[in-house]
Amino acid sequence: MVQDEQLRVAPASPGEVPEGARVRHFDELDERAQQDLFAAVHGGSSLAGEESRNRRVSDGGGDVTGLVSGDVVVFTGYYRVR
Amino acid sequence: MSESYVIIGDGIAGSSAAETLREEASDADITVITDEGEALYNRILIKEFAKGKLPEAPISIHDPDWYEERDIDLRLNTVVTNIDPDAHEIETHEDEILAYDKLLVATGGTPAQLPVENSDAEGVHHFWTFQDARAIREHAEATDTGVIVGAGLLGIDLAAICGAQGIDAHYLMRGNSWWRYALSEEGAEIMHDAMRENGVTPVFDSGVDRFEVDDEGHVEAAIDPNGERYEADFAGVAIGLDFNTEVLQGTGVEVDDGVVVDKYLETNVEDIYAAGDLTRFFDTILGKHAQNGSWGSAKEQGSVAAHNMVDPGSKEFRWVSSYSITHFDFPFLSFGHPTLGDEHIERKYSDTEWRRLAFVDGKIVGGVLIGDLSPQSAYKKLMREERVVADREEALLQKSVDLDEIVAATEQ
Repeated sequence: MVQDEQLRVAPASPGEVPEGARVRHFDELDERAQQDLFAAVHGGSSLAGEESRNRRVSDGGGDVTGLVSGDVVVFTGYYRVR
Repeated sequence: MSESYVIIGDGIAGSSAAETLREEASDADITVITDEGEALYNRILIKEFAKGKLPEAPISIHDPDWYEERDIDLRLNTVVTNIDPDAHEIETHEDEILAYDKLLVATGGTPAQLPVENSDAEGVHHFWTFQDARAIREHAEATDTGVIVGAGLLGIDLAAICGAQGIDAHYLMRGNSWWRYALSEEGAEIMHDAMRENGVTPVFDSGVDRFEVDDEGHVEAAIDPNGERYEADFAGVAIGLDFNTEVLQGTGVEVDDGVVVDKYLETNVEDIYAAGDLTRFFDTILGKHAQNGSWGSAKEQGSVAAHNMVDPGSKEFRWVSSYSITHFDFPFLSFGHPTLGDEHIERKYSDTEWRRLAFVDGKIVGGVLIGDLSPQSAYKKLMREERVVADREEALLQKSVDLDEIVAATEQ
């Protein structure tokens, strides 16, 4: 599924992690997603281009290759994807 | 009759294998056995739990329903006591016999004990499992002084936990810098500064000669080889892993500081495979056996092993791993095998930005990036393609790496 919206990241404090949110560590992301996240955090770009958005994650949590809105990522801080 | 697959271990390698097996062999009988009391959890997030930043809930990855929905038989709190390769059977601590057609060993490791006096005292922690993290968090929240031992990737997690929990900690290192096998002093100093900013004092040419305990057997100080005494109600030890290979004793499986497997993750004993931290796998990029303890590598090994259990020899393990440290304001990422290399190049760009690449026979075999991770993909691609690039130092260390230019140069 391709999502139309541009995913972006925003800093969040650990205390703001919503109950039920999927929390992922940077090391769980594939190489492209890591590059996207680094660029988004340090350059303010959108999180994923169309290619990355096409690589949707499964809902089971066991096959994390990318990020979806609502995720929280632990990198040099906590970041909320939206 | 359907095939029977048994997996020992429910870490990311074992769980990844179970998932792949179900995808590739829909009718197979799949059993996952673990001595832990909980299903797969996120081992790389437990440091955030121990720091007091995350609650327990997000750490869990699979609940028992996940296995049930996939018709995978999960056995928690179960210890495998024997493997009989000839009969293709395993035995559990409850004397249950389970037959297998293919067996995967993904039992990981156990933190090594520091071989010094009182290293088993109360208050001396190792950090590997969720249970370890719970104990560390509870103790760290209630104490003021600490020491950390083990100047590597696991030790720095303990240092960060101390910093986040407000513990006045000393990080006792044997050498003159943190992770000295992968970083020069210049690169390591960036990490030392970050530790200091987080309330952790690195101490060099030190270590622990013995722990002192109070009347109740609780650690109260660490004495280093120079006789210096460091008060510590909390001690974190991370000096490496002992691989959990006991279950393979008597099976004939080759063990040499890890379970030796080929590029298909198969051992020398027919129908027994291994995956995850405990393997000494044949690295098709290096051209020799190697080890890796990263989450991504273990996950990929589990999946590749499962493919080969269903269809032997169908998929090679070929992977450039990476491991990050995200405790500080700047990121740190190591990739490949940064501690190997007969040649190195490095450059410092700012107080929080530095790179180092390691080469063997002119090919990149690993590296460390501090601050700027953007060259990661370019370096990994050159490594995967086994290009001889060591003579391209200036191009490799440009702030913005022009991969096309480097590749073109190697093809001239």
